[in-house]
Formats: sequence, C-alpha cells, structure tokens
Amino acid sequence: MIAIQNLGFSYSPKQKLFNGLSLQLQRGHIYGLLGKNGAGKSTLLKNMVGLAFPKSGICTINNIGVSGRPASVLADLFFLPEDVYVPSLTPLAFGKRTGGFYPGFDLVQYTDHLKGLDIDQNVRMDKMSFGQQKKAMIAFGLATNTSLLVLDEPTNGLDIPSKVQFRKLIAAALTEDKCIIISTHQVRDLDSLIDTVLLLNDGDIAVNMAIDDIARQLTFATATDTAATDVLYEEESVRGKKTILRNTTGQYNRIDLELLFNAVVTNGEQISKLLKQAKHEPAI
Amino acid sequence: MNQQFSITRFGRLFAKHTAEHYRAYLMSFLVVLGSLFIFFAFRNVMTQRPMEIRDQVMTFGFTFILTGSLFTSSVFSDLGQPRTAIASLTLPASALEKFMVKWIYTYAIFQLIFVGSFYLALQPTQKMTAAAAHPGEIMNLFREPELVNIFLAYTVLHSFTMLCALLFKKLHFVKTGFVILIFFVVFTMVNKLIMQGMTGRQVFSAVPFLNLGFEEHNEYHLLSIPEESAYIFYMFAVVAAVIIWSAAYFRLKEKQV
Repeated sequence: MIAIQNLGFSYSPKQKLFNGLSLQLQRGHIYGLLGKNGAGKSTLLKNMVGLAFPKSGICTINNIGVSGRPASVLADLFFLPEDVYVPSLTPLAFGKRTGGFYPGFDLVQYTDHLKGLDIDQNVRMDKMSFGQQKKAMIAFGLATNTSLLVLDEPTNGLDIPSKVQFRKLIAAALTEDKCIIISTHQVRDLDSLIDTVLLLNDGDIAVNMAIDDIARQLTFATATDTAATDVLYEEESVRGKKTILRNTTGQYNRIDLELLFNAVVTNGEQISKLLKQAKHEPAI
Repeated sequence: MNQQFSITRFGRLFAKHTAEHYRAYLMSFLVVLGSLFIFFAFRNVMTQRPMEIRDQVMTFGFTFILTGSLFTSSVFSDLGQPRTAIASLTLPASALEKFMVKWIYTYAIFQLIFVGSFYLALQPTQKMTAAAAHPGEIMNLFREPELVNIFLAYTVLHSFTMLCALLFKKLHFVKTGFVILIFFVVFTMVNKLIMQGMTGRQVFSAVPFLNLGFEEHNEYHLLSIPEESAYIFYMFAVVAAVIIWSAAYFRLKEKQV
C-alpha cells in the first residue's frame, strides 16, 4: 500500500535525516514505528502522507505520489499528529462538518467511539483538555474508515483507562484492507497491539519484521547468570539481567519490545543483521 | 474523483470554514462597524458639519485598505503553526479549493461586508449635526473616480498580502507591511533612475506607471497617462494581481510542515 523508495530527506543541507531509505507497508497490518527522540519518526510519517516532500526518492500510496497531496489520496488516509488541533466546534458539529470529506465516514460509529472514550459530544472541543481533544480526534480518525490510518504518538496525553480503550479500538478497527501505522517512543503502549515492528535508527529502518518472526529468531529472558550463554544483548533490571538470546529451539516466546528497542538503539548491528538475514532466508 | 476542483467538495469546505470562523468574523464585522460609527459620529458632532464627499472617499480608502490587508494577512496564519497546518493540509480537498475559499472570504466577501459597514455607519452619522435638517451627501460608490483606484489598489495589495501570508509564519501583518514598504521604496527609486536615464534630465517625481515630473526652463512639468489610456494602467494592475495570486496558490500547493 505504501511504497517508499530511496527516500532522502534533510532539514539542513549539512545533516541528512534519511539517505536512501526504502520501505514497503501492506494492508492488514498494524505497524509500530519505534525510534529514539529525534530519530525522524514524525518526519518519516510526514513524508508518507505528503506533509513533507522528499529531497530525493519517492513516497507513494497505492502507486500515487503523495507529494502533490491529491484529494483522492487524502480522502483515504487519516493522519493524527502528536499535537492535535481542534476547531471551536463540538465533536458532533465537527463530525458533521468534516466527516463528509471522507467517503467512508460513519457518524454513528463516531458517536459510539466518543462514548467509549468518555467524550461529551456537546462540549466545544477547544474548551476540552488536551487528552480529551486527542481522544475526540482518535474517535474521528477511526470513524473515517480510511484505508490508511497514521497515528503519531497517539497515547501521549491519554490517561491509563483511555490507553486501554485506545488499544481495544485500534485492534477492533483493523481489517484486511486497512493499514495502521503507530509511531511512539513509549514502546509499552504498543505492546500486544502491533503485529509488525519498524525500528528507525540512524536514518534507516534497522528492523522491519513481524512480531511472530522476531519471536522465532530471538528469545527474551531474564537470567541471573548469563556468562555461559550466547547473549546478543543484556541489561540490568531489578529482577536480574534481561537478555536477548538467539532462539535456537524455534519455540515461540513473548517479545520484550522495550528490550529489543534498547538493544537495537544501543548496540543494534548484531541484532539488526541477524533479523535482516533471517527475513531474507527462505522458510524451512 | 476530480483532483483539482469539485463543486461538492468546495461547498463542503466553504461551509466548514464558515462554521469554524463565523464567530471571529462576526466579531470583526462588529468591531469595524462600531469603529467607523464612532469615528463618523465623533467627527461630525465635533465639527457640527457633515463629512464632505472628498473626506468620505479618503476615509473609505484608508480604512478599506487597512482592514482588508489586516484580514488578508491573517488568512493563512493556520499554516504558520505545525498543528493547525497539518489539520489544514491533510483535509481531503485540493489546494485550489482551499485557496479559493480563503480568496472568496478575503476578497469578494470582505469587500461586500466592508462597503455595507461603511454605509451603515456613515448614513445615520451624517445627520448628527446642527444642520440635521440638511444632512450631508453620501458618496456614490459607482460615481467617484478615485474609488476605482482604491479598489484596484486593494486588488494588488490583496494578492501581495496573500502571498506574504503564505511566505511568513508569524507576525504576518507587520512583516507584510514592511515588505511592501521596502518594495515600494526600491521600486520607486529604480523607476526614477530609469526615467532619468531615459529622459536625460533631472526627474523630481516618478510614480511608477502613473506620472513623471521634471523641470525645464525653470518650469515644472508633470507628464501623466492620458485619461483615455488609463485602462492600460488598470490592466497592468489586474494582470499583476493575477500573477501574484497564482504565485500564492503554488506556494500553498508546495507548503510543507
């Protein structure tokens, strides 16, 4: 659905943020885009939706270039920025005024999402707290029923019950013809929600792999003594050493996204290479 | 789906823009109307004479261009801040439709509203004098020749202000005013130098495309475009405005966050 080919982008000529980044994203997945602060997650998303134009390379959605922001492409994508803007309208009035731009918009679904997220439909959105504004926009974004949903740090500003509700709504929203991309630096918020990890590091996609495939390649364990084992990465925690090992048995285990993130960001070469190699090896 | 212009999408965008901004627009209209009313009333009561046509035209020109430029310079302020710019740029409508909605509001609707406000404030205050039995005349919008120049000046200024509104991120009005001042000064100076070069004599006044003043045998001469050729100047102004509006449209199309 989304194809990025040899993306080159920089805010200043001296410092290139991306240099030849390529990425393909398909329908039917929830992608979790992870990266450090300043890694370029938001910039990558902006390039994907046509808010920033590549210096080189091309970004397409369904084979249409997004840099010109064609109305047909915009009508089938919804982008929720980290810092949302709401007009001085009630959520209901906003839905009625703006929903019409999206062919798949469902007002009933929108009001249901608003109720589910505990948002009063008749209070002006600009009078709401930041968290409530964000929830109202999440509800609207989901009700647009666009094929592409891009959410930049959607859980920032949400309270704990709202984060739980958010995860439920996103999980329920995924269908075969939808592609959902969620960017965050709070990896725990995406735990059990995403099915594919995109890890952005040093201007490139260091990891692009399904959670299940990562689990087949790596074992995440807590051990007291790791001296004898073939440890790819380890870090101290209150419950002993958290480790990443090569999965030699092929047995499924629950992956620790935060540990994987730290491993790739601090000493990523080995793990990135291992995962890339595994991705390109034919399955036995 | 037509990517450039769809009347349904445009109508929807116009309605959305109106719903989101009508409070601010209504407030601005009341402020302009109130300010004009207070000014006319104060002036007429203090002087005990109704305002003459010439003063009405001058007041109209000054307030019309000032308020119009102020309004136009703020029309793309949403693109100056990332959060508002994202909401605006990702809304499923074409750049042309987004541009046209703002153009209609700041050019067409503004002129209608301002002219209405001006007459609404002027009409009753012309009677607020000692000679109330003989209220002063009211300028006729279609008869005063200076008004053509005022509307034309607004047209060019509007296009320029719209472009500047897209070029600057903050303090649009101040920056636009400064750019216009610099542009006018440089343009006039260059024009004067060119005129001096072309005529080979000391030029005292040279308003671009309008006149040329010089001295010969101790007599001051002022050359102006003949009235029957004034349309060339008007055409030039309109063409310039269309070119600058087009530049503003392409600037909007290429806007990034």
